[in-house]
Amino acid sequence: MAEQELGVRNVAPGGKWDAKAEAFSGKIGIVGKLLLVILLAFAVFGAYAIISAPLDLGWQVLFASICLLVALALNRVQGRLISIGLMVFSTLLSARYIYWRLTASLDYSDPQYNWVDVLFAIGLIAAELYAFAVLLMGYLQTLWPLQRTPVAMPGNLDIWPSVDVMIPTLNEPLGVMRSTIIAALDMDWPRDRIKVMVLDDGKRDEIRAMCDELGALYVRRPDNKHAKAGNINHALKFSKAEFVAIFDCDHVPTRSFLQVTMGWFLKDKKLSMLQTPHHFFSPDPFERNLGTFRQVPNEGELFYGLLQDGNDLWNATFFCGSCAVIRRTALEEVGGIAVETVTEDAHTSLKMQREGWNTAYINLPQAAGRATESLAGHIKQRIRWARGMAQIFRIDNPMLGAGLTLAQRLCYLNSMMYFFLGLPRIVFLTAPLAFLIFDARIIVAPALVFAAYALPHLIHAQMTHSRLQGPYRYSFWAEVYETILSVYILFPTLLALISPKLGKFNVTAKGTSRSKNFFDSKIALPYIVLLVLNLIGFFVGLTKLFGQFGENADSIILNLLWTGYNVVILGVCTAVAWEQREVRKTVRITAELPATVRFADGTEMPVRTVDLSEGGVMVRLPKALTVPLGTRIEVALLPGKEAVWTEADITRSAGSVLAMKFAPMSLQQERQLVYAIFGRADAWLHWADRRADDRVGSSFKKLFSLGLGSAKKAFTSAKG
Amino acid sequence: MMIRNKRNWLRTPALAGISAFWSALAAVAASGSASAQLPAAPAGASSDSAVTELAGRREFTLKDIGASQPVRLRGIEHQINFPVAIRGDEIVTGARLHLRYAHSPALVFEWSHITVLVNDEVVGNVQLKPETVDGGEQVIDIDPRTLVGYSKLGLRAVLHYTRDCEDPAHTTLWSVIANDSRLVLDVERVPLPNDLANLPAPFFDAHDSSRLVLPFVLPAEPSAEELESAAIVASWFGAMAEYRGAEFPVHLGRLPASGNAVAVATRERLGPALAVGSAHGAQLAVINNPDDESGKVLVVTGDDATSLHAAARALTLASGTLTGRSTQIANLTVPALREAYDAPRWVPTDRPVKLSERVGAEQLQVRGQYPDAIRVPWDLPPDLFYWRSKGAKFDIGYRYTPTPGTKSTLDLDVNNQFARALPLLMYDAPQKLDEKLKKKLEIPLVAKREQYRVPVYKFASDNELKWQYNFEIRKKGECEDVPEAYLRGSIDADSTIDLSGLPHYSYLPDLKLFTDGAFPFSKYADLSQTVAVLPTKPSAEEATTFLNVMGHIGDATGYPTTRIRVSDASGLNGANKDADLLVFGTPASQPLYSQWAELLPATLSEKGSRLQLVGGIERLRARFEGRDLDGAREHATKIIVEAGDKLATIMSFESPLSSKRTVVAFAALSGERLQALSTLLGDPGRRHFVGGDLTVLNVDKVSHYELAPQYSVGKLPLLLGIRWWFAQQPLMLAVMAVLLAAFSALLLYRLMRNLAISRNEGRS
Repeated sequence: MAEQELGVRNVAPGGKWDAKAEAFSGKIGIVGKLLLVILLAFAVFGAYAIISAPLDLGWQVLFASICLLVALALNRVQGRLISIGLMVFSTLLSARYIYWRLTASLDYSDPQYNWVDVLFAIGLIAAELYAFAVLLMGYLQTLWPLQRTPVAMPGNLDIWPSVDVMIPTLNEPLGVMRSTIIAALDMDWPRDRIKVMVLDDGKRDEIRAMCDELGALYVRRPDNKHAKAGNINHALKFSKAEFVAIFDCDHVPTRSFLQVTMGWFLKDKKLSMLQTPHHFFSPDPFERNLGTFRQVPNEGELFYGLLQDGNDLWNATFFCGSCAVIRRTALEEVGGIAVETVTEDAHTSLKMQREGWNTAYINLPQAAGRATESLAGHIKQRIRWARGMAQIFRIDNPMLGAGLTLAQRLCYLNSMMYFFLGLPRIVFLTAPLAFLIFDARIIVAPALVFAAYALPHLIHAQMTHSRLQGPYRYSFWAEVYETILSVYILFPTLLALISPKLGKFNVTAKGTSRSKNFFDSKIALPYIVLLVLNLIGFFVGLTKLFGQFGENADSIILNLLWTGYNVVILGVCTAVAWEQREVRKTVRITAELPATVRFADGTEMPVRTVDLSEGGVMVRLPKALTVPLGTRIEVALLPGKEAVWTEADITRSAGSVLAMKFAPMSLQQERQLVYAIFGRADAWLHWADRRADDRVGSSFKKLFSLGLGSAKKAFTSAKG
Repeated sequence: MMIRNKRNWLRTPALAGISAFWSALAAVAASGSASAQLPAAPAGASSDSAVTELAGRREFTLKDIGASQPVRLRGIEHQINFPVAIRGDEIVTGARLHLRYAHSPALVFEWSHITVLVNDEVVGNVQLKPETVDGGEQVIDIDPRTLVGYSKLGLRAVLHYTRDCEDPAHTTLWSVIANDSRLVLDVERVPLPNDLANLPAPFFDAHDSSRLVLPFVLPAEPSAEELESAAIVASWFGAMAEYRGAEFPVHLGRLPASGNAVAVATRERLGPALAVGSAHGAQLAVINNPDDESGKVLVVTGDDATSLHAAARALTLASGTLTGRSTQIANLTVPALREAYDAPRWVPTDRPVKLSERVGAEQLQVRGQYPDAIRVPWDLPPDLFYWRSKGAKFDIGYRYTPTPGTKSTLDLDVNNQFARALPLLMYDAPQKLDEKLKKKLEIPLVAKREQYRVPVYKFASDNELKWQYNFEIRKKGECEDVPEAYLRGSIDADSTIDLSGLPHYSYLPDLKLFTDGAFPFSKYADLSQTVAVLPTKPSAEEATTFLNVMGHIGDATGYPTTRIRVSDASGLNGANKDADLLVFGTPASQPLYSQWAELLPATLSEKGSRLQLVGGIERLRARFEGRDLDGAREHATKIIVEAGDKLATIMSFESPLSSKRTVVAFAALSGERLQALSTLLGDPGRRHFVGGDLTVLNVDKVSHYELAPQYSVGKLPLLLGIRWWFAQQPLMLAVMAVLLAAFSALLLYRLMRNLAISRNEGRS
């Protein structure tokens, strides 16, 4: 498979400056080493000065302005050198802010401050320290996304190893699984060395029947102990292959999956696990309810697009439960899939890495699935992740124990720390209210001085994040994703910290069918409460601003801006709870593929598809042609050496566009359709090609209008 | 507070006791001064009014002996004491108190009176009458025999407003005694025997709270060693004089017509009038002033520089061991060099210091419903660097009689700035008592200890810590109120204050540091790093100025300037180059002023004095630092022109002979004006106006300017130094940030790239 065809997207494409930096990457002599040591010493003292040297308000503003101008100018230059430089810059200014916060804004010794002030202040500074730690670890994680490319399989087929493809399932509908099993069976691999195993904890006979029909191995176990982990461990007893590929039953692999991934296992004998991204071809609740599908990167893209790739540099990529291959010996060394926590996947890779095994990540979507359908489902899934990560943090903390490098520990730690965002996020959403409503002095410093120290920290972090994460997450969207989760993962994570057994927590959606639009007020309640509180705070602040004749105006304005920002974010969160009706049963994939149509009279015509789904296809004819509705024709998708013809009925004909519905298919026809939709190696590669670059301003504008739209909807529905 | 109960550097028990006596009385006298009902004595008529006369009459106002404000006596009975001290060589033959007073009109007059006491014996009474409500005056004769040595003048008011039950805190119970009320004494001189054992009396008598004026007699053309020895003696007297101030008018080659004097000369230059026998070597003697029966002359002499110095050192460092009319000093060894910052006057800053090291325990106790403040002097080296310091660690134990209420407090002021208040609660017993028991017991005394930090911005070089007990007055109702005279409060003598860890770092030139703490010369208390540059043949005024400055330095350090070097301009070579310099003289007599004309902030000349020109870079820098250089120059020029030939200046700049060394120059157009500069240093009213790198005295107005760039002396710890430097340099901080980001980016790029290559090759 040609690598250039796959085209790995750059974090920030290299430029002239990176080329120059390459000149510094060769061998250095003794003089160079000596110079380096001296410079390092200077750098340490310089960093100390930048972090700790106190400046008066005016001079801090001057200093911050110069830093900002330099950073803005540098940000125009492409390349990783500048990315790293901006990370350093941002780290320095944030550290400077935190140092200032800790040393100059927490003096509560004056008796005028009471315990309310101190309580809010402790909450805020703890939240800020958390955010600072996560910021630093995030920079470490994304310092150099590895962007590993696949290793070609050797020409000699005899040395290709055997692989068992495992598809665990519990209660997913049959239809969802069928494509997965078909696609797994059709993966390009020597037939005698691949086995597809369907591990059914649902103990359904219809699944057994389907497996028999399709040629997959059906595995059922007597109990359901340890859920998915136990299911796989049970199946391992019946599997002898050197490698295990694991897919969730709704993750449909491409035919090329094994060829793309297996090469690395042959090259690196210590490689235990290779993960590929989880790609979703259907909109998640955010995308569907906000109408941003394929316009704004979804929640998972940052993780699979950047963080796992960044982890890979540090040999700290972890297993995500699906779309991955595991070396059997490594898995057996740690006693199979981990069963101690509810995130068995991450925990398993942590255990393997502690034994000295490597992990790898290839950032090429080689499988695709359906996103969670409802917001409630989405939250439920995240609660499980959060709780599981907190459990690992509690019982097998990556900072402790043997076998890991410091960078590995920090990368794992950050993945866990992320899920402790609940409390800090709520603190940030309410901190200005403490001042506006309760008059609590949460920061003992003049508002302008606070702004002069805090804004550089915020602006540089925002700018750097936009540069690094832009393609995978638009500015400020993290706030939305995190705010949605914060309320719900707060208690599960805290409880899991107290005792790993605690913290089971169930979220149920409002029991309305997906057939019509509705507002999931049950899920949205916490955001509505926070939103109302912020609005109250905002108006109390406004009255204070105008009622106190400008007294404390700077503090009030600062807190009003903060509250206003919170209102926008909470508005968007509330908007996500407007569950939108699902337009169609099957997902329609936009893809321009070669196909041939054959009319009843036998004339064949080469066409290009516009989109296709499991139910039908729309094609563009070379010339305008009107076909009566209901006409039965034949279509061959991806006609290679031999075409597979499928009957279809015309459902629409307009100009050169022809839409048709498939007639009931044979297995062979079905396999061809699955191949056309899901099985192509490049099926998901160009998914985000037409998306605009991240722009801080327009991203905020987008959020603002979404929040406003939500308010409008609430207003009209209240009226209605 | 007029009498600053400052310091007792002399460790001899007798003197320490005397000093404590003064302090205690002074503290007593300072109380009871609330609002002024009678006009206060005019400012400026203070210390100077207590002029020493050889014999005859002495007059003190209450203001001179401690009442900075009119004395307010309130309540049914209230007494305030003032210290009165009689010189050891005087006896009182007659004494009168001219009392001016006023009082409340709402009194029962036959029961209300003011009693005058001396040493707690009644010497007179003043009956309060309706006629004296708006002010009365009465002369009270005092038995002169009661006034010997240290005495206590007491004023007690007994006031009543009703014949029935009284509220002792009733607001009508007040009387005020003017602080210009005078105590007039007729004195007679009783000369002391000529005995070195009396030293420092009669040349300095601690009983005498007036300014010390002690003439020095030097040969007509004093040599360097004679000037050095005179300086040692002058600084010793200056240190003892403390708050009184000291002047040492120099008589070249002649004795003063009357009174006491100190003569310093090598033996062959003493002259016949001061011949003290044919002894050899270092010698000290007390003889009669040949021109005045009652005057004494202290003769300090020796054969050569070594023995003359030894005589001066013996006088100043071992005066307690001297006896007889005359004594030979056998021990010629030079005492070891003093360490930096070990001046006895300064509180050590390398360890926690107990209060008992600085004041006596008796000064830490007070009593009464309205107790006096507890005052502790806490002088510090002037160059302490307080920036970003966490504060001084106070570990203070205190005891008090608990009052039933909850509003009693113990307040701490540092330099009259409020620093901390502690509540004095009823049941804070030292041991844990059963709650019920606590309520039954009237605990007679509560002892507590607390640790806290006091922000260092409240500190200067010359500090006073003041603890004030405020006892709540408990209202019980008529006929039940009792003045709570049993109330007591104290600060534990083993309480400590810790200023350790503060670096020594300051920016010079800054004449403020010189007036406040004689810095940088005082860094080594023996002045081993100082050279005084006098004209080759100094005039009497120039020598006087020099000795007055030495007196000032002695006062600042509490130690005689035993290693001062005196030189003329031509002697500034060799070891003398690497020293801080004190320069004295007029443009005519001091050649350094023309040699260093470029460096001086101002050039003095009969034809017209002018300021030094300032370069463009310096102007830019001043603008950047926010100093109005042009405004200052304009003002200074005006003052200089106004002053004409009365111009006198103190200037300070970095020594051209050695970097980081400081020159302080006293320059005037005439000797008389030069001398005026040195008296300025001892004048508490005007010394605040000395500062900057140029202080100008025109006729009697003092103003100061910062015209030249400063340089730093001292050393900061590395990390603090980095922060301090960058805190002044926001631009450099930004440049640093960019450079650091660039360097780190290149380094990380290299590391990450190589790591990525190795990962992509399948190595781990």
